[in-house]
Amino acid sequence: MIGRPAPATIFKDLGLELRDIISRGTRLTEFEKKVWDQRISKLNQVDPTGALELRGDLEAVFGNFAETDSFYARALNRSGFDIDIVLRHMMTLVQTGQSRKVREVFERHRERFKGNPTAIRQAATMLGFSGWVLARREICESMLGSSERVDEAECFAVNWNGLEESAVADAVGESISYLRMRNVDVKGTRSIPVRDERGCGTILFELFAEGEPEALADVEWDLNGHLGSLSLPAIENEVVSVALAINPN
Amino acid sequence: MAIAPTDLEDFARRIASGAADEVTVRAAISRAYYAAFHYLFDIAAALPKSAKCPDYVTELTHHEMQCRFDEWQLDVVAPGLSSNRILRDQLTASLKTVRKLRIKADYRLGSDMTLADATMQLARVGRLKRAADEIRQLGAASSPA
Repeated sequence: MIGRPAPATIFKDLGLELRDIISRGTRLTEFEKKVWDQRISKLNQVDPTGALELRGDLEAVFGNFAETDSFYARALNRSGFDIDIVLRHMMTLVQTGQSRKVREVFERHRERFKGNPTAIRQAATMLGFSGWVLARREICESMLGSSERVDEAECFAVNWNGLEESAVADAVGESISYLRMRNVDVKGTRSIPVRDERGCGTILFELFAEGEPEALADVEWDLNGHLGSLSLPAIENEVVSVALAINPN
Repeated sequence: MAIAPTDLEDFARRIASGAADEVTVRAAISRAYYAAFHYLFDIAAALPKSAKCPDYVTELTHHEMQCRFDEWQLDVVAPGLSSNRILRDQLTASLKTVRKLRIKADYRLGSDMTLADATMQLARVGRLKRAADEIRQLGAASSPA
């Protein structure tokens, strides 16, 4: 007898498929959206909470981020507070370049993370991914203990030029958002404190992507133009430089 | 015997091969930056001295080059180019990145650097070279015969 896939398996498979669409910036047609609606409706019959999450992700594909947040909030309430739903919401925000919201969602539920080191590590990684390098360190130190190693430790030596850390997160978020529009899937990030010739500490924030080096260099060139047009304080004050790097995996 | 900026880039490409160890990778990243510096040198040298440049500095330093491009008085080189702010943002940001990676390669020994980093640095330098060539062409096209 061939068994039917369990609801958890259906949710996981659909979720991964949708996450791939989000991270690659794939455009869906109205017809494809309807197909997704039907697939999610089918899941709704066996897993209503999972269906709410997926509806949130589907809205994110179309840039309807207020709806995304609303669906995730409903899923979280319905679950009786499942920390994994918070983490998946954060992931959707990370992948769509909404750095400030990544931090907001974490801070809103910060107390709920206590006593769950795995979830804290995942959240800290996502915050670092989104440009919150100091917050990542603070969370690791205060919630996991000082034994946790944080690569960005030296970011404290950065000359912030009076700016808040959110200015860096804004630059990183705008970069991820732009790259997604160009169908460049950011696989990871790395922040390096670099002291320039004047002795000023600045951050080199690298975004890992797949592709031919020359093609990535062209995209980075365009990204530089885009970021310049936004007059972002962290870029204008030379607190951070954003660069593409070739994904090692 | 003199060398040209392309020799620096060629050298960086030659040593950035599959068998390169990290010391070699870092050397390639560093040499690639210097290739970019020299690709842009004559353009920067033609620009007015930066307002940030101290009086005692008479050479075109790395920082001074960056400042001159930041101030972007490119009309001196190619009339009309000063209004091209997108090109300014693209070129200055890319120059900052190649320089920061050079600093990382030469001074941040505790941070990992891989062949992929060298490959990307070389691609970036190639993009900067194209921009420098385009600026020169625009300048030459607007010069009286």
